[in-house]
Amino acid sequence: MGKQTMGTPCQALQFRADNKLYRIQTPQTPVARTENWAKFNVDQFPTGTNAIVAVLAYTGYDMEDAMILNKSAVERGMFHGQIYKTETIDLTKMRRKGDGIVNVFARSDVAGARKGAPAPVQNSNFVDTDGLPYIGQIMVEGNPYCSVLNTVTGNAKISKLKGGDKAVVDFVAAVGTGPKEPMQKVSIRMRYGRNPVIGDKFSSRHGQKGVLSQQWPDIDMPFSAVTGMRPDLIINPHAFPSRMTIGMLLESMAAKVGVLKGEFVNATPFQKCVSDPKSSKKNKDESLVDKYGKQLKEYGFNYHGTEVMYSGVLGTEMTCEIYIGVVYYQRLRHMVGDKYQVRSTGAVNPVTRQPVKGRKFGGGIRFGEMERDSLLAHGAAYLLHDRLHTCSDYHTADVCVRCGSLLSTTPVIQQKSSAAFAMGLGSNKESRIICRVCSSSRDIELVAMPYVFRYLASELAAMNIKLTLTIGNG
Amino acid sequence: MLFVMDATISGPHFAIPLHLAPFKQLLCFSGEQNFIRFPTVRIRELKDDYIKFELRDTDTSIANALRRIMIAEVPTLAIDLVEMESNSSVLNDEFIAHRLGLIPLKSERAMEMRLSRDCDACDGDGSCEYCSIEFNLNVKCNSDQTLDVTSHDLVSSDPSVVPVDNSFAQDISGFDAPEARGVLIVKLRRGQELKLRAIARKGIGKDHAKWSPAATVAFQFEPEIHINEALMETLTLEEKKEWVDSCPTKVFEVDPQTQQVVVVDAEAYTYDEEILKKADAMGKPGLVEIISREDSFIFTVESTGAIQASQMFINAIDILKTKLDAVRLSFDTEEADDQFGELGHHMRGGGIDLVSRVIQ
Ligand SMILES: [Zn+2]
Ligand SMILES: [Zn+2]
Repeated sequence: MGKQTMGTPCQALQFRADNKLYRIQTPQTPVARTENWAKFNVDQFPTGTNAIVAVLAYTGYDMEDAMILNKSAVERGMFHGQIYKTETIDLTKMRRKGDGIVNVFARSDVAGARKGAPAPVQNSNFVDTDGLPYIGQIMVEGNPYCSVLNTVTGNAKISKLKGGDKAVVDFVAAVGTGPKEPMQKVSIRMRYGRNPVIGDKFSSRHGQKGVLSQQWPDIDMPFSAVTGMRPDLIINPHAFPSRMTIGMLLESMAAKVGVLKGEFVNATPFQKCVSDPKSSKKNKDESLVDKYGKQLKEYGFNYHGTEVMYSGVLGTEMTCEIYIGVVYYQRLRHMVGDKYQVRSTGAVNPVTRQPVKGRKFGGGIRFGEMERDSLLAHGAAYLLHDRLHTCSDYHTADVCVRCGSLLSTTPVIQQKSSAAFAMGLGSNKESRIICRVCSSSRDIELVAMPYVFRYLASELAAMNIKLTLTIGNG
Repeated sequence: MLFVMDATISGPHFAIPLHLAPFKQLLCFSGEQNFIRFPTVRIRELKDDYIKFELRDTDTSIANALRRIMIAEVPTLAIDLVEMESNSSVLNDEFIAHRLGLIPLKSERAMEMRLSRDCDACDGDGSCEYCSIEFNLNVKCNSDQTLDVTSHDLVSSDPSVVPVDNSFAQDISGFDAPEARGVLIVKLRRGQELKLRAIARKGIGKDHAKWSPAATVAFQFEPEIHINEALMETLTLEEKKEWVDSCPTKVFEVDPQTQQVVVVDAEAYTYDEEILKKADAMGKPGLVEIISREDSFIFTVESTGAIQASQMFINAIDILKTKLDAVRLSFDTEEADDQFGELGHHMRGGGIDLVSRVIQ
């Protein structure tokens, strides 16, 4: 519904070339709905699933706004979804003024290509002779999906799939191409499967968002002895008191009645205020809980929406009755697959030699001031040194003790003394560090420091500020 | 523990209560303590896809083990590999493959078939009689009317393995014409085509829910209800009625003639304790005593149609037996202690027994 949900973004998805679209595979219409639902045709763009939600603390994996999904329900298709990404390749942008059409979509082994052109990079399985991919082809990172041939040089420029995810070619469209001239612009749409995994985010319509922390198989979920139902989703009772989302509890009960009746439930807010006070005098004082409780009782369920449930693992009755009902749940578009970051070693900033930031570049996550304070408070000095120095821009510099400069030292290659050379001891060259200021190679020490410190010294030197180090043994 | 079934269940036409028993339960570990019990099964209701029975004289662990095995370990067949040749429908390839996987297939053969990962007669390409069944689907819509592609369009290479015919659902209202009742896969408009080859394999619900033969398996403890007649007589007729109505399910009734409260359906009681709370609220605690019998279970089993519900139960017992055999076979061996540790002691009847054996 909102901008965060993974729902049904449009009806003409088949023919569109949006940059990025999220889509859920088998959406449902909510059982509990407002009067405006039909008015605004929201059913044309459904966004979620009527999940059987049990409110209980089970196995501990639903602590702190985490939630448990029924693995078997997910395997049956609940919350399955895809991301569609479109790439548009425009050859007119490669064209220089005055030139004719030089680049065309083609494979490099196509007839008319330059003789002796490099063989297509084993890409005939992925790219057809027209230089475009086969629809339905499954691709992994590095597979080619488009080939552009320069008809003058005969060289082919191949676009390869980026990112570690498996993709499927969903759709290829020629854009704005007249009948005469060769095709110059195409849109290629890739489809990425995004089925629920641990770390994905879900939410009810009451803002009760949670992160999937575990998927339990059907047999491990608690079950109701009367109906044999296992919940699709388990949410922790602690999610309610402080947030006071009574609406969700009411929806659970109301939709449960609706499901039993086979009818949609009117969940419009402020119904009592709007309704004609004379017509429904009798029901005016009745609370919603009473209204739905009575109906639940008629169907042989507990008045308060609870059910006696059995542990799926042990088969024993649980000591508490469990509040269980139907809540419309949505999948949100924040998925771990798009967000996780890992780094052991990798790209560094060439100026500071510190790790770069950003997921795209395999960068690290900033270890900031507050994190530093935390480690200091713990007295974890070695760990602090490891994070901020060893794993960052560890550097050793030669420092002249006499003048205290770390910029004036430089290695000098000298001829070895002829005596040593005569004895045939290795190479006749040896390298020494000398200080250009003191013109001496004595009193030069190797000091470990962050590389940014050397950078700082250089920057200061450029401003005519001399930075000296005092080297001592204490 | 070992189950031996004396009687067998066959056919869907059984009259309602059938004594199926006694389950001869043998004690597999010799020991001084004797825990021999003879669980019995009494079938109450039997349909192709539904069975309701009582399981008596055993305990929760066995009942729950059977429930878990029925849901997750009784093998069936399901489409596992799909090769798309042409798909111009509105649903993408993975979507259709997933839908095909969820179609229940008649799986009477599943118990004797091989798992394709254990099959050494083939390389899993589908042309193997021991582990795979091939299906073909080739539909094209040539008319202006929307064409429903259903499970009936799947052509099986084995006449005994076909998509479940759910025409028994005739009595369920809201369905279309009987001939259109296959499982809907996708709808095609003019010019769209779907052509594919699919391979069904044996599997269990633990690997993927599509292999689970059970729609629902639930059991409840049999309740034993004792009404305190003396205390009940202190209630007026109105109070009796009020008390009886406080139960969400119809367990009690006020007899119109004798005006006495009688139990009409003890099993309708769901352990919700509403009537106990009501009795307390009326100032009559102890009006009724309800004990759940820890050794009697009422099972309700619904099948997806892949195998008959009764067969599902029998297969579950077989699988449980095999699992227990695996434990038993290894308990005498050298590795048993490594494998089972503490459990090994239990299996030999505790530590003292172990010592006496060593002496012998
Ligand atoms: Zn110096
Ligand atoms: Zn085979």
